[in-house]
Amino acid sequence: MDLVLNAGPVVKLVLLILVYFSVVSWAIIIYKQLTVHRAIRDSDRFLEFFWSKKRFDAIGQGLGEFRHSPLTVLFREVYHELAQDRQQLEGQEGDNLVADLGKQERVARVLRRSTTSEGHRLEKYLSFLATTGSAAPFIGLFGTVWGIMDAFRGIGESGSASLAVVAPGISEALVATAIGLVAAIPAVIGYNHFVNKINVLSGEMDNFSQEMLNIVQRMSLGK
Amino acid sequence: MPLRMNKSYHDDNKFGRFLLISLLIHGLLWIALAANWFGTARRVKPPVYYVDLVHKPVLKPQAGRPDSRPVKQSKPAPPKPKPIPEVTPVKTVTPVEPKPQPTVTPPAQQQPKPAPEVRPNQKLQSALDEIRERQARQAERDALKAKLAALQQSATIPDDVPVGMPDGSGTEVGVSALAFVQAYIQQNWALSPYLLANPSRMGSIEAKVLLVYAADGRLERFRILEASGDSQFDDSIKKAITKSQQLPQPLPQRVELSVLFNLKEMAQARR
Repeated sequence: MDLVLNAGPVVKLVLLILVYFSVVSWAIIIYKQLTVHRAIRDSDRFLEFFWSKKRFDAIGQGLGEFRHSPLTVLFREVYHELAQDRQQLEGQEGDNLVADLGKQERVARVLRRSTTSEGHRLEKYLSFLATTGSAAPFIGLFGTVWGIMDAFRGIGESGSASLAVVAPGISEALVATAIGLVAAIPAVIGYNHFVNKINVLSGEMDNFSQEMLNIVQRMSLGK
Repeated sequence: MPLRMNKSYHDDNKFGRFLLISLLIHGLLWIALAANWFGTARRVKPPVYYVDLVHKPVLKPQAGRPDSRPVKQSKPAPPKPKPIPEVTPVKTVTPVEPKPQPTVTPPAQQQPKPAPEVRPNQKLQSALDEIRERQARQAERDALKAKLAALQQSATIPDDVPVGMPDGSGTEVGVSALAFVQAYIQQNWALSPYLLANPSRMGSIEAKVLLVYAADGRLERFRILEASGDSQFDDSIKKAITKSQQLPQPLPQRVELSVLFNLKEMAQARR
């Protein structure tokens, strides 16, 4: 602790920046752990629920139990689109093939848009982790270099080159690199972990989109 | 049933709560690192006592009989005159002579040999008397020396009196302000590699410094009495003294010390 308190102003500033990086990184890690874990858990449960039901209406009423799954968002959007479509069709007399083809196209667009927006939501704040992982060691290194420069200037002024004079300055300077690494290591680990989990979720969303499109197509053909 | 999701459906707006949790974790980590969990004696500095075991009686040694070697330097004179008056009474105790005489008699027996050859000559007789007298005196002196040695060895001072100084109080045995101050300054002395470059010259580099310390351990003033001639060494000594402006413990009284700093000794002590 004394090492931190006795450091020079520039090193202290660097340490403050690194502490900020570390605090925000850990907040993101905890937040992401919670959201991604819930998303995976609810998605698995939703898929089971989805395939156990035969009607969209029944699925739509049970969505409240899977609030955190991105797949529910996809389903809601498609359901909404189909409901709108049904309302329009009810207003018109008769039935035509062009309208059915247009419906499939619209559902596909809705699914693409929802997948993208959910992907963005899941990846939110992850860029900060990546920045911390790559930049924090360099910021720490800058603090160390500055601290060592200060230490050598002190040695030059005192005229004494004994270990007792040199060592404290260098150890104070090295604290910056240490804290930079302490901030960066969890950020890098967290980033890789969450990117992997989000990739899994993206895959699930893509698969679900394909399934939804197939269902909509079957609905159109079976009509 | 609401079909569209509003934005607050997910917990995106609660990120501030996680920031607070993270801050809390960092604060706890800081406290955990600052705390001394394993009870290492990093903060409790043990008291350092500077004790000179070589020159034990220093300021006020223990009260008692002046025994052992150091006493010989300070008060050797009074015991010597004492035996001298004792010598005079021994003169009356000349009967001690018989003892050495038997040893002397052999030469006396040898003397008669020339006697038959040389006529009783007055000069010869006087010379013989002189020799006898000298031998007797020598024997007397030897006997006295033996007696003196015996007297010194036998306990003239009672054994139950403790070793020390007659006027001592015994409160400051083994405490040397000089040794303590010198050791402390030496601790603060930085060894310059330039001075050690020429080891053959090291022995001749020494400086004598007058140091005046107040009773509370504060340096009042200092003056270099004899400079070493080497400016670097003098500077290093000055630096060490300015570093030692406050001693870690108070002294028994205000002291004026003349301390000799020798580069070779200090370098050896440093190792």
